[in-house]
Amino acid sequence: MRKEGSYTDSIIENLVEELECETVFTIGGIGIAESVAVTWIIMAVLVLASVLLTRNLKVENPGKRQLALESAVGGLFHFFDDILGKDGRRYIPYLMTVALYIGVSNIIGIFGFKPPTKDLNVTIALAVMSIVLIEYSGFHKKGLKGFIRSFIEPVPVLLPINIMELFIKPVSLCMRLFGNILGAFVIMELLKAVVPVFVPIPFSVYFDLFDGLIQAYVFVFLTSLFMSEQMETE
Amino acid sequence: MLRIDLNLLFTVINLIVLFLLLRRFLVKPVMGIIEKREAMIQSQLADASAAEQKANELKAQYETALAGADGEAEQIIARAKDRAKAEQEHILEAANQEAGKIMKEAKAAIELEREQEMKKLQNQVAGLALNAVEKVLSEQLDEEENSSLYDRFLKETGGTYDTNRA
Repeated sequence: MRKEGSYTDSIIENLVEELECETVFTIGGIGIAESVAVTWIIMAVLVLASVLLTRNLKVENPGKRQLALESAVGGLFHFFDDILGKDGRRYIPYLMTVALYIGVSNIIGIFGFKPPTKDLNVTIALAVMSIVLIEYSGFHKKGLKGFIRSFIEPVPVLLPINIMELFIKPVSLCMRLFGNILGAFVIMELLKAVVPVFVPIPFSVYFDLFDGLIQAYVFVFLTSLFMSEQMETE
Repeated sequence: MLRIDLNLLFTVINLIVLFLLLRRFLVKPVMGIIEKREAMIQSQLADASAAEQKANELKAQYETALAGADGEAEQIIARAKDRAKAEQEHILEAANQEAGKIMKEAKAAIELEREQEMKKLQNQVAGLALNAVEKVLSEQLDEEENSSLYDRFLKETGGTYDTNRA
C-alpha cells in the first residue's frame, strides 16, 4: 500500500511539474515563460518555412511544392473570405496567422514541447486581440456612430447584454482553447505516466493532432464569425 | 499553474510580429502569385472571346461576300447569254445580207455574161448568114444588091429574136 501511494504521489508530482508554466530564463528581472520561448521557436519555424516555400514562385507552370502551398494558403484565404466578405478581406492575413500559430502550437506537443496554448497568458492574449479586432472591424465599417448604435441593436433593451458580450466573447474564446489544450495535455501526461508504451499513440493522434487542429479551426472560425456579425449593416 | 503576468504582453507582441512576418513572407507572395495567375487567365479569356468575336464577324462578312458573288455570277452569266444571243442574231442577219448580196451579184454577172454571149452569137450568126447569102448570090447579084439584102435579113432575124426574148 505504501509503495503504491508513493507511486501515485510521484505521478502527481510529475504531472504538477509538467503543468507548471516554467520561467525558462529571465532578462533584466523579467521572467520569460516557457510558452513565450516556444512561441519564438514556432515563429522562427513558420517564417523560415514561409521563406523557403515561397522561393521562385512562378505564374506559369508551378511546381508541386508551389501548387500545394497555393492550395493551402488559397484555401485558408477563401475559407475566411467566404465568412467575412469583401469588407473583411483586410483582416484575413491576421486570421491566417492566428490559425497557423494556434494549429502549430496545439500539435507541437508531439515534438515534446509544451504547447504555448496551454499557458493562460497566450490564450488570453489571443482572445484579447480577437475581441479588439472584432470591435475594430465593426468600428471601421460603420464609423463611431454606427459602432455605438450597434450596442442598442436590435432593441435598446439588449444594451447590457451587448456590453456583456464584449467580455463574454473573449472569455469563451480564451477558455475554450485553454481548457481543451490543457485537458488534452493532462490526459496525455497521465497516460504517458501510467502506460508509456504504445497506448498513448492513438490517444495522441486524437488529443494532439485532431483536437488541436479542431480548436485552432474553432478559434479562428468564431473570431471571423463574430467579425462578420459585427460588420453586418442593416 | 495559472499565472497571468507580463508574458501576456510578450505574447501579444509575438503575435503582432508573427503577423507582420507571415504577411510579408507568406500571404503576400502566394496571394500575389494567385492573383497574377487569375489576372492572366482573365486576360487570356478576354483575348479568346475577342478573337472569337472577330472570327465570327469575318465569317459573316465572307458569307455575305460569297452570297453577293453568287448573285453576281448569275448576273454575269445572264448578261453573257443575252450578249451571245444578240451577237448570234447579228451574225445571222449579216450572213443573210451577205448571202443576198452575193446572190444578186452572181445573178447580175450571169446576166451580163449571157448578154455578151448573145451578142457574140448574133455576130457569128450574122457572119454565117452573110457568107451563105454571099455564096448564093455571088454570081447573080452585084455588090449593091448584096448589101441591101444583108440589111433586110439582119433586120428580120434580129427583130424576131428580140420579140422572142421579150
